[in-house]
Order: sequence, then C-alpha cells, then structure tokens
Amino acid sequence: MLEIVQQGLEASVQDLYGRPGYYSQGIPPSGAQDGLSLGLGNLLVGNDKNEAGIEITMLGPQVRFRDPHAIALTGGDLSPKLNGDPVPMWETVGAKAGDLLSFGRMMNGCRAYLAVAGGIDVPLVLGSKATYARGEIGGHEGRVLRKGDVLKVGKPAVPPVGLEGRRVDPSRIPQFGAHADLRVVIGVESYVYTERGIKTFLSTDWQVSSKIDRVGYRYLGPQLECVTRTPPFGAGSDPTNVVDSGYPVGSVHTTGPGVEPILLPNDAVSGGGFATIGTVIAVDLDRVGQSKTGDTTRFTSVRIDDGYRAWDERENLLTESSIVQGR
Amino acid sequence: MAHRSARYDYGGDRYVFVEFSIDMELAQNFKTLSMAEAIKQARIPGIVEVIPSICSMLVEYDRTKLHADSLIGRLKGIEQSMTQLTQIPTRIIDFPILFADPWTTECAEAFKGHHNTGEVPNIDFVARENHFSDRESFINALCATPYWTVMVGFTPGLPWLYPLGVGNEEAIQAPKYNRPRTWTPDRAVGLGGAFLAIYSVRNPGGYQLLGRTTNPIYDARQRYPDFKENPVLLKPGDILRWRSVDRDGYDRVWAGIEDGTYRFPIRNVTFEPEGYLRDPPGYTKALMGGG
Repeated sequence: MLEIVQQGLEASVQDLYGRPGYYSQGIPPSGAQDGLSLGLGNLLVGNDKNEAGIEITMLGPQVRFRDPHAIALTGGDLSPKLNGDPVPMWETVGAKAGDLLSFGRMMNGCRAYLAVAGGIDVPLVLGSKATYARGEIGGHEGRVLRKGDVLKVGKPAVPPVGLEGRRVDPSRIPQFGAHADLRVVIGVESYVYTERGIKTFLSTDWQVSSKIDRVGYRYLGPQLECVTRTPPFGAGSDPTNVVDSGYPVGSVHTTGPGVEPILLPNDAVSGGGFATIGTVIAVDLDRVGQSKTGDTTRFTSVRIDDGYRAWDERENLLTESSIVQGR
Repeated sequence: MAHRSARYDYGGDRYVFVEFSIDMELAQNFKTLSMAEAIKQARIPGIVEVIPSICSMLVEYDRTKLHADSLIGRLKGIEQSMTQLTQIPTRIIDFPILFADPWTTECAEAFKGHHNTGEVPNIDFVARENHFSDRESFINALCATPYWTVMVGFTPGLPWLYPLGVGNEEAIQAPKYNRPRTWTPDRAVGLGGAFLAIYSVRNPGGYQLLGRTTNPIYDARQRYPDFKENPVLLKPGDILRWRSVDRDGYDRVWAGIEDGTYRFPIRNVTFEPEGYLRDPPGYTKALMGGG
C-alpha cells in the first residue's frame, strides 16, 4: 500500500492503453498522457506494460510506502527523492516500508510516472483502470489523488526478486527538450482553412500556453487564414464553425476565426462545432504530454503510413529488449 | 435516399472520417445512423468503434489489423449497397423539466455579464427572440415538440437534440452566450442555435439556460436502475418528450430517482426515416400519438 501524504498539482492513476470503445458515448480513452514512459516503467518493475501507475504532473505529491515495493520513476524529470536523497530515474529501485517519495524542481518534461511492482490496484471501470476525472470514472474514486488517499498495490506478476538495478537502455530513453516536433495528418475539416492558413499552421513555432491539461492543449501564435464562407445552418456564426462533428483524439482545431489552436489529448471531448485542421499521429501524443507552458511546438505534415511505422517502433520499444541489467 | 456520396478522409492514423453533409439536415443524420448500423452489422475485423455525430462519423480502427485505405474501400461499398434508410429501433422517453428552476437561474445570475442581454432567467429572452408573447406559450410550444437525439458526446452521455416535425426555419432558436460560462449545473437544459442539449456533468458551456430536468443522463457510479448496464442513458435516435413540472412535481420525481423507485417512462418504437421525410409533421404526430 502507499499513501498520498501531500497532494501535488495533479496526480492520477493511469494505465497505458486506456478505455477504448466508449467514445461514441462521449467517454474518451484516457490513459497515460505519455504512454511510452509509463509502459517502460511497468517493464522495469516486471509488470504488464498496460498496468496502472501514477501520472504526476509538474508539481509532485509526497508518497509514503507502507510496505516494501520495487518501484520505477520514468517520464519527465521532476527531481524525485526517496527520504530526501535523489533517486535515479529509468531504473528499478527498492522502496522500504516507511520510505517517503517526494519531488522537487521540474528539470525537463511535464509528467513523471511512478510504476510499482504489482501495479496500482483499483477496480476496472469499462475495462480500464485509467482515471477520467471530468467524467468521474476510473482510477481512484474517479478523481485525481488527494492528501490522505491510500492506494492498494496488486500482487506482482513475477516475484520481485532481482528487479533492482534493471535500467532502460540509455539509447532508448526519450528526451524532452523545450521544443517538440509533432507529426500531423492534415484533414477532416481542413477545407475551412486556406492554403496559406495551413502553411502558417505548419511553419510556426507555436508557444505552449498556460492552458494545458488532459482535456486540451492550447497554443499561442499567429491567426490562421480561413476561407470566406457563411457557416452552415445550425453551426454558429464563426467561419470556423461546422455542424458539430466528432473530434479524433489528437485532433487540432482553432477557436474563433483561426486563433489559438487546441490539441485534444487522451481526455478529449468527443465532438463539437469547430473545424478540425488535422490530427497528430498517435505516438506523438506521448510527446505532447511532456511539453509545458513556454515550450515551443511545430507541426509537420505526414502521411498515415508514417504514423503506422512510428507506432510499430513504439510497440517494439515497449518490450524487454529496452531493459538492461546493472551498470 | 440522397444520391450524393459521402466524403472520406483520414482522422490521423487511427480514425477514418466520413462526412455526409456539411449542412444540418435530419435526412443526413438518418443516413449517418443507418450507415453506422450497417457498419456494425458488417462486423469488419479491426474496427474498434463507430462514432456517429450529426451528419458525419468517425470510425476508429486498429492499425495492426486494418489499413485506413482498405477500411475506406469497405465503407464505400457499404454506403453504395445501402439502397434505403434503415428503420431505426428507438425509444420515446419522458423528460420532466422544471423551467426557470432555481439552479440554472443561480448559474445565469452568476454569468450575467457573459449573456447577450443579461436577462435572468434566460427563458424570457429566448421566448422573445422566438416571438412568443409570454413564457407560458413558449413552454407549451417546446413541450409540444419532440426532440430527436442527433448525437451523443462532447462530455459523457450529453445528447444533442433537434426538433422533429418542424422545418429549420420554424425551429426554436437562440444565439449562444457572448462568452461561455465556466460552469453549468448538471441536468441543465440549454438551447444554442437550433439544438437543445442536456449538460451531463458540471461543465463550461454557452447555451441559453431554459430549465433543469430530473432525469440523470450519465451515472458514473451506475447507482440508478436504468444505468446498471451502461453509465450513459441515451443513444442517437432516442426521442425526448418534455413535460413541464412545477417544483413539487420535480421534487417528487427526483426523490423517486434517488431512492430507485422511479423508472423513466420509456416507450419502444420503430422510427421510419423514409416515412418521416415524406411528411415530417404528420409522421411525427402519428408516432407521438401512439400510432
């Protein structure tokens, strides 16, 4: 068991693949915003890669372990400490009963992941342990973690012996600089934007705004030129208004006439009345989850086959081949 | 059956987007729902979920089993083989509503500065915008109009509703708020453009607030009997019939919902899009009258 003794900014229980299959009812997939990091953490502690861990955003909580556990910290570097001493990331570490995990300065990235051998033991809701806080389902009581929460840990799939010292192959550790390149498939309702508007979208270093959460990432930059059109009946009064349609997870739309693009990550709203310009390929949502206010982001147009290849590469990374033993 | 064919596009590397119309037409919503059903019936391996919206849909697929281009080929085949709109098995569900209730009135008051004219409650503004002489005649007109669920989504279980039996021009309409509210009570019934929506969770929003219904449409904890199978009540195609209740009536129904003794009055019906499109007012009247 582990206890949240001090609440951070936003920590929630998440698994890797979330809750697919309910989007037509307005329930998004959820799951780790940087799935690669959570998945690698799970492998380090001998879990199935889809097991539930804790996603920790920017300002970490303090976590007290009530029992000994093999743990691993991955993702963004939020300066994790065990009993006040720095603890290595991307490596399996033994925590003793009574040990206190805390976090300090955000050195890079935006979200760290805590994986525990056996996984966080919360009930499956619609097939997943992932938290969807806005819809109040999944994870721990359908919400982000609070001071005083006590989380059970599952029975480890493999005996937690010889796990300590397992590390992610350094060449396979993702890097989170202050600039993210995201690959996007232009389409859906891109016809609302002019050729010049799309060119502006693809050639701008967008600034990541302060409005970034699991439901939406908002970017600051120039206005995108839209075609001159009268919005269709029932759609609203803005040229970027469309008759409400589905928003793919990872899709980008502007609000108002071509301003402030919003990217919809794993807790996306499933539809609405703004024109989608394109959709970021699934693997690059990992990178979105590690970008933070003030960082820059550039969108590059790719074909869907590039997305498929990148997905296969990511799945290959999420195997034992990424783990090395000892120093 | 409309002859123009749908537009197919990629929604990134895990969805295909199918657009039947860029305009709001009930006929195209019927086509969207017919096609969604036909895709489900075809049981194409690799389809994760069909996600219909108003006049378009997303089809999520598993890229390890299916390439978008072959999926699009299959979907086009299904579209071409659909010679007519399929009958839609649906339900008529009674929705008690307390118009100008205290909760949405409190919300409207809190966001007075965001509103077009600052009128609280919003219902009198909407009545006047639609040339009704008073609140009561507006309420009577709304309760005489069944609403069709064109889409479910945005937030869990939220229905987007469009009037049955009236043309676009006759539909009750209202502009959205100048600036959206940062919260809206759950079960609030709002009007934006010609669409009604029921807020499923406390959420931002910009629709004019008309009242609050007793009926939960999303039950995250699955506490209520009608939600045992699924936390979401409504499906596209469900027909809502508004019933104006006073505060006593509202409290009675709500108490029954809370203790599990009240069951939503639901009548199962088969909706025939072709019949509707031939005579929208006549078909609607017969359907609602129990015919």
